[in-house]
Amino acid sequence: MAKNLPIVPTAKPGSMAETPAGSTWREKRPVLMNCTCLEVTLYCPDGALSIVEGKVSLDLNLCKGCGICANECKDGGIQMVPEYTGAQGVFPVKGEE
Amino acid sequence: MSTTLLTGSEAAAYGAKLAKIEVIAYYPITPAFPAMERVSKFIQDGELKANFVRVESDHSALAATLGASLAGARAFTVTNSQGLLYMTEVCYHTAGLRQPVVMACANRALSAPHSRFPEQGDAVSQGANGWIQLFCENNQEVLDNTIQAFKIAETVKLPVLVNYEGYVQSHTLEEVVIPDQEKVNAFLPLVRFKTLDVENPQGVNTVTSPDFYMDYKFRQNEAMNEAVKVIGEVAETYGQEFGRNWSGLIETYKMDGAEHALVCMGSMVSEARLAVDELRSQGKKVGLVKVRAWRPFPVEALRASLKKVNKVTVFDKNIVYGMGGALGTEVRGALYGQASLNVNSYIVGLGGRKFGLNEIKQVIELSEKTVKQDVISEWFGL
Ligand code: SF4
Repeated sequence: MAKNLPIVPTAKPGSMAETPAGSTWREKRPVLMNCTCLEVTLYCPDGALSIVEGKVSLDLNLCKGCGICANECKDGGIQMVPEYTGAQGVFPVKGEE
Repeated sequence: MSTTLLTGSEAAAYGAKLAKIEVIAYYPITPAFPAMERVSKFIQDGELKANFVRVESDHSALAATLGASLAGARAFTVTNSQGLLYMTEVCYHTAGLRQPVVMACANRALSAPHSRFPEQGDAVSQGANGWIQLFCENNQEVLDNTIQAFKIAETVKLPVLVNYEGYVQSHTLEEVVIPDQEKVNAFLPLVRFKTLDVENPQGVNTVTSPDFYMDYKFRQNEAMNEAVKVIGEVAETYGQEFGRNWSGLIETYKMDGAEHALVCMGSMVSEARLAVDELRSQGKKVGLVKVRAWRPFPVEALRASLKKVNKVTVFDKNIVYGMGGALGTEVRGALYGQASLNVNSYIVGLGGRKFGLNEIKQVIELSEKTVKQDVISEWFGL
């Protein structure tokens, strides 16, 4: 039986985040090490970085791992760490498990 | 109701005007151009209240038409050949997004080498894109099918391509009956099918995972299957209202007792009728099956109408390289295992090569001479 779907293929804004595709194909993810200025939120093409209570906040459900943020931060405040190690699956970042 | 002389392109424009289209986006191309010219004149003269969107390419023309349709407007455009090819990507979008867009297409041969002459190769190239495709045999049918196309499209929620041949129809004057506006209004009331809504924002054509994509495609194909029934019903109601029933997916002509059936679509049908009349008067048992809807392909209807003949001759004004004529291949596929008959198919009239009454009779003669083995897409008229 085919699934019941809307006639026109549509989805509510943000529904991609509910089944995050980006987080399954991401090879690296950013880690906010010493992120003090808020400017970097302007560079993220996927809206994964936002300002929450005056601080930069990262939503990993939206992040595709492009690394633009890490590249733009001239102070090295953001670093990219590997998401996978080969076929073994997710490699948890220390302190974030 | 009035009767006037119209070219095929003008007939398409009249059909669109009577359907009260609200948006047309267009990029000029020959030979469909006069249709757009007429529509723009209707708008200029205040006879039609529609937005004319000028764009920089055919791709954008269909994209703007699709956008208008998503916003709930009754939208229409016209193109042919290279323009249709350039639209291909958006053609798939329109069908996949289930928008009831109607497009008229003045069939013209495809480049290279460059040609401006009639052929059905452009429509055939779009045979898998999800659009319903109707072929018209004369200019009256162009007008009638354009109106019916909106009814079909809005019922099954799929776009419809209304094909008529470049020059042979697009630039040839014929007597055409123009129905009364009130009657068309009653036949085709405006039903809004709105997807874009500022009160309820939605992402359209979102990335779809393997969990859903196939189900969407199944539903889209189901709509095509539904069209098999709807096209016939719409033709029937239209016939009752306006006195011209163009029949559903196919029309049979003098098929009673026929042993040899001709199968073709588009303007060739008119001449094939004459050939059948002439051969019948000589006592030859020849009949004709006109394919009016090429998509959805009329598999069941063809099986039913051709089960008693022992020979079928298909004329294809298109070539699928390495395989043959599209119609011949599909007719043979539909009939396979159904009956013991020959399906002989011929590639004819490409790029405007003459294929009139005399040529039709010559092919019939060639086909009559064959025995047992099918003739698979032999080239005629080289
Ligand atoms: S890696 Fe790319 S997507 Fe992820 S937060 Fe940084 S800029 Fe945004």
